[in-house]
Amino acid sequence: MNYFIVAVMGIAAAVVAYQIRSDAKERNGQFLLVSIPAYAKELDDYKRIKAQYKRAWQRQTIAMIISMLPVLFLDSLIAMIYLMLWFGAIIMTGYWPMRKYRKQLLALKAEKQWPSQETKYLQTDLRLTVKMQNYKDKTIRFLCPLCLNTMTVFVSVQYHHWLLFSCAVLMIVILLSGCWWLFHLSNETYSDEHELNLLLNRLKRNQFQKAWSYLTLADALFLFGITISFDHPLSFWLLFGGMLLVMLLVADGIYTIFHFQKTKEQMLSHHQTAFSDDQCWTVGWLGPVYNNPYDPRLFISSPNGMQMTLNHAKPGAKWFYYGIAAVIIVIMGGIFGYPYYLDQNHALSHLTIENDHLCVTSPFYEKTIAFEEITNIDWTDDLGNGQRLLGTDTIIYQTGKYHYDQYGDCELYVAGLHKSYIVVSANEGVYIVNDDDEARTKEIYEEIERMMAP
Amino acid sequence: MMIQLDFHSDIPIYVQLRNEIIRLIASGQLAYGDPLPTVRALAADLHVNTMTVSKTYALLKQEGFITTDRRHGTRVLPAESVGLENVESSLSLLASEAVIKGMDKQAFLSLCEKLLDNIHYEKKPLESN
Repeated sequence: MNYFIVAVMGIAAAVVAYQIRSDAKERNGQFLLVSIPAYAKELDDYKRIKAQYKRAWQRQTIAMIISMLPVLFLDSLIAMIYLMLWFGAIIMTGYWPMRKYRKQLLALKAEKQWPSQETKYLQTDLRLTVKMQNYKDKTIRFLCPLCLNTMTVFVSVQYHHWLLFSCAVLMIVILLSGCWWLFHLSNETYSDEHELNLLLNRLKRNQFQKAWSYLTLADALFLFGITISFDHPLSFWLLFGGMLLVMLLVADGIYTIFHFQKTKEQMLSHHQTAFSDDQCWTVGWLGPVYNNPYDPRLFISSPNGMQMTLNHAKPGAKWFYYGIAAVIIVIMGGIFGYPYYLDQNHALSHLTIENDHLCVTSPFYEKTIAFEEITNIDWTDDLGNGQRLLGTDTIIYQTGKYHYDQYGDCELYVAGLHKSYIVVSANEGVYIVNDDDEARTKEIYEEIERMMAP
Repeated sequence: MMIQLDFHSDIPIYVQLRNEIIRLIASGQLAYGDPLPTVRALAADLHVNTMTVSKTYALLKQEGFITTDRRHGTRVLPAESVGLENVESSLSLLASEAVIKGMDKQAFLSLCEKLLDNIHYEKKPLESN
């Protein structure tokens, strides 16, 4: 377990170190988000700051790696807490060297009176807008992920996997929203040259759509694989091949965006980019922050070129954060809040006996076991040690395939907050069920026992 | 063919956009009969509301600089002698401002001449399509 945590920390450290390095990188006449004239790059003072920053970044990366090692000697729970604290610390301190040396560079710039560029106009290539109107989007590439997600919806309905059904519906919504956004992507005027603008905008549309189709296809494949393997376990090689394909698609999707950003950087290396005013950028705790009231765009490319960031001068930025918070609240409410509400109103899990069948019904699961199939029945208030194999566990309810030391492999249909269970051993396997009312679970158990008594 | 908008100016965006399109026509960058983008596409690229671009197009159409039809969309098609009274009143105001601020007649006329030399508008026959 601890080796796994160290591996996770290693990946996190690599991502954070790379992100910080690429945010600060010298590109398009800027270093540490400060515009530098070409002649200044040969000055000793500039070279000194650049070298000092590089050394500070190296020291910070080494410190991140060394601080991972104590996890190997800690207890699993403490290691998890350490992981969270460590992650918070590297995020909060990650941009400290960049802030320090950026301040020094700005002071040097003011001292040497290097020319500062101040752009207060939005420049738009009108001919580019006219030509890009006729760009044909390749909608066909999104057909495959859409079909796979639709199939997942049907399969999950057939097998009553409501959580997977919700995931598939959500994925369709995300896929279509992403497509709508990409088809309505505004054109960017990168330079004064029309042909270069046209080439880059065509490339951007094509590459972004390609990357989105790969990422959504990988997700659709993953979800479809989980859905079908629920009831028909896949062979190791099929599972391995599927996972490999998913990983390749994700990697190719990320590489496509990376490749576009590299090409853009090369093509624009001799052009001044719009809004490169030093005052537009600040380095916050979590990275570069863009704030430019003269820029009407809400989403802009982040300095590393791989992601998007917000223009915090626009009121839309505030609403974007509210929207993110609302989505998190809705998702958490759906996963924990709604089941908890049902549980408190005794509507989460209901045990009944109908026509010689034991039935457990819930908005999240449903199971019927015929009495003639039951070989043994038992009641317990402690299931002992166990783990989930394939299913859902939200603490409030548990459903799917589990393994318990006491009962072996079994299927659970239980309201997790009520420690009163009926363990049914049947011809097809072991089932553990309960009602969201502990007394009723006991009552049903006694009734079945009476009915099955010779 | 660049248009520049200042989002912090006191001049409304739709007026700035109208002025920029007229400047492009006068400088020859937008030729007679050239198509203009759709309201939706231009609004997206300028990051403004579609109503703003729509208002600009309506104003340019009313002033006789552009024309819109179902088949060809919006095109630069300045109608001669439409809105000339507007030019006269604007020029009269500018001349008054120049005189009040101390510019003499000769300086004003040479400035006008210099600005007119930068205008390369030329009416061409439309391609039949």
